[in-house]
Amino acid sequence: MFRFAFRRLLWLVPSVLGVSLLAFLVLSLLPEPAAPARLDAEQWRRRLAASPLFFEVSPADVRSRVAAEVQRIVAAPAGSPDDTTGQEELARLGGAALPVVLPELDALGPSDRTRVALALAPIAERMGLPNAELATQPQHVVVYWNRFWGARAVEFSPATARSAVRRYARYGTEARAAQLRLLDTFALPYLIEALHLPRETADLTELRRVVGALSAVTGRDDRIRAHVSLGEAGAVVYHWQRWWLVYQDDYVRLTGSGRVAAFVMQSRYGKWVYETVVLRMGLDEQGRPVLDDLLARCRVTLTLLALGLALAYLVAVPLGASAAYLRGRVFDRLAATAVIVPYAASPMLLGALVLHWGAPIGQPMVWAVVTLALALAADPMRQSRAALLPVLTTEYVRASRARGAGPMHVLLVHGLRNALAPVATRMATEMPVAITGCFVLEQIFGLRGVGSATLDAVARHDTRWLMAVALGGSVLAVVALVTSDVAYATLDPRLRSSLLRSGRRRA
Amino acid sequence: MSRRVGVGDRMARSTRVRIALVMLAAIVLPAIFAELIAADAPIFAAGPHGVYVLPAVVKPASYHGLDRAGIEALHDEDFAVWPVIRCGPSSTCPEGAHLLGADGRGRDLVARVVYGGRSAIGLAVLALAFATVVGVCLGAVAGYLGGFWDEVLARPIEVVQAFPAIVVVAVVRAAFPDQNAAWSLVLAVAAVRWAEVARLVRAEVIQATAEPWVLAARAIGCGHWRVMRRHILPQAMRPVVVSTMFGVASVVLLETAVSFLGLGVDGSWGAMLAEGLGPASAAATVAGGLALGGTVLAVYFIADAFEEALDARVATTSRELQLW
Repeated sequence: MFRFAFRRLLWLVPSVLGVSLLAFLVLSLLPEPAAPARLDAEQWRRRLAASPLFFEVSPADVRSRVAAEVQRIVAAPAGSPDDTTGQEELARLGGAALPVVLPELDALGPSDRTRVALALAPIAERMGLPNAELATQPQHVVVYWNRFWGARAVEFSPATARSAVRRYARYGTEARAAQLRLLDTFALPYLIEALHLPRETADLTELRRVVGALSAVTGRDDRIRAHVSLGEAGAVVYHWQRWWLVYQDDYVRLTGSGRVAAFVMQSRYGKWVYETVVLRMGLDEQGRPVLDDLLARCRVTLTLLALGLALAYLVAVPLGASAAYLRGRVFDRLAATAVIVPYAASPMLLGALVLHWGAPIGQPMVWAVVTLALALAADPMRQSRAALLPVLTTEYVRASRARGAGPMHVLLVHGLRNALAPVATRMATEMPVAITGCFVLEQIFGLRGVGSATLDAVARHDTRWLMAVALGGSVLAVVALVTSDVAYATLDPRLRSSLLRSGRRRA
Repeated sequence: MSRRVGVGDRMARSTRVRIALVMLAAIVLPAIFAELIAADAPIFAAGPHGVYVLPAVVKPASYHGLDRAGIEALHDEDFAVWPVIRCGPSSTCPEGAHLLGADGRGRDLVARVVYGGRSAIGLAVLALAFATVVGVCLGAVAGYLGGFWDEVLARPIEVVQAFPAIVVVAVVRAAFPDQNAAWSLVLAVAAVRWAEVARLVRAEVIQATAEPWVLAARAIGCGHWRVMRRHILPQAMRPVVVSTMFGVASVVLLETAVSFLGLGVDGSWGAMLAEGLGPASAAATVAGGLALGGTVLAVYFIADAFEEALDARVATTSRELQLW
């Protein structure tokens, strides 16, 4: 049985994947996806819109970008707008560009060589190199950079960069800072690696240094201020991780498996998956991770859902059983009326009525649960009645009655077990209806659950929240299916063997 | 043929089905012919400017932005036949014009109920039609071909069936914010609803494929298409029809809930229900709730009676087994 349940649970993977792909496809039609907190919205949109939806055919990395910028500078006449943009971009790519551009410098023509080398001047200044003014003089600049590369090429290696970051984070001395400054953007991947969520106040010193170095290198001012809480510091860490997700292809050199992964990772879907898995579903506009908010709100909605369903079944199944036993009598009709009327009245009207007369007394949650149970009771009642009827007309029930068994004995021993199995399978298909009811009742009773946040998200075009809710929905659907299957197999032992075999049926 | 007559007969015998049919007709017919019952414009106008039949439908632009006096001035010299309620669902009307009263903003309640019925029933019928076509095709493919196709289709059918419809609606409405709300709702509802139909068809087709008459039909040389159409699908459609009839009730409920939450269409019953939450007036809530409840009950009774009537054994042997 466990093996069976586990195998069914494995269905989570393809269904979550399928649901996320579909929802992403639909939501990508949105005219303007909201930018993550504290990133430049305009730039974000430009970069996002430029990347393909699911698959990047030619992933970019620092080599391709540097080559493109050098080409741009060479092709444009000096002083033209294209030339300026190329120079600015090359300066932004920074230290990560040096290992690509400096060895290639000699391959360019003499005048082009000088122009490209001059574009690197802001980098020399940012690195705090000695004699940085030489980098701005056309007669010295090429020799200057060639000398620099001859002396310093050794330091531009992953191992050196990683240890430089580690040492600076640990000691924070001026010498370590200078060493890190020399690497400029080349150290970015390792700085991002060194980011982690602070667990105690002691972590903040190291973190503050890392974030400070990130701000200095990128010119994006987002530091951890003095006397901040751990939560705020964590938010800054999230911002930087989020920023890295968008900009990393500017600074990283792709090789081997990284290049293969980049085919997917540089698409919008790939970035969203990374954000969801690694960054707790991304940040909302207040800078909190969406997952935390979702879990907090799920607690309300799932409580309402579970209690409402449980109450509905607890009332409806015995009612259906009694109605089946007393079929055709007044009780049967009364019971049927008692469940069908609230069903037809719908959670909307019921909730409005309860709010009008009852809600000032007691907890809104209690009222919501009762209302939901009322609205949901019709189906299980009908099902259990229909399932019991054929059982109650069988020969063995008549024989049992003839031998003197009471009605309770007949219902409990012969009836209920037979009747419950089909009712249990309906649980999974009741779920969507119940969730709609939950959303409505949350709205009516002012509960802060998933429903109200989803309505907000629709109004604000908040893609991240809607994706998170879609994923949550698919998880819930699979869990409900597995639960109802397991319940079915438990209640009806005849089915167990066939269920367990079903996976290999056609193998 | 004889079976169909029998089903109709058995259904018509019960009083509650007759009552339900009358209730349903009282909601569906006005919804179809809404402009004849409540509209700003006349049903028929003939005069110096020409002859118009149903100008509210033919040229709605000429009434746009006019108040009551303006519309009357427009048809001053005409011979005009006006609807019972001279007031559209969204226009404010003077006190005396209402049949059963107005909501907080002076809009006629009957007009709103009638037009709300149009959006609810229309959406349900369209969505169920889409869902049935898709569901029957996919379910038949899964059940008849079996093997790989069944594996590929059966699990998604289950998952879609258990997936919360309201989330699908929210995602679709977010993705098409400006487009026609009714169509995106139809698509969203159909996108979840097809799975139920596909599940039923698949189960029936699997069962029917093993029947001797299907094997016999194959043996005398019928093609797959003919076997499916003549021998399997007629058998498989019975639970689909029952489920679709119950589906009307649940889709109407879903549409109302969606509009109640503000994701749906404007003139819906759900919007009326939502008004009662505020301090404004309970009249709209009561009217919308009664219309919704009446529709759901009527559909439910008819579907229930139909299901029972299909099962000839239950219907004839023991009347006491019937729920109602």
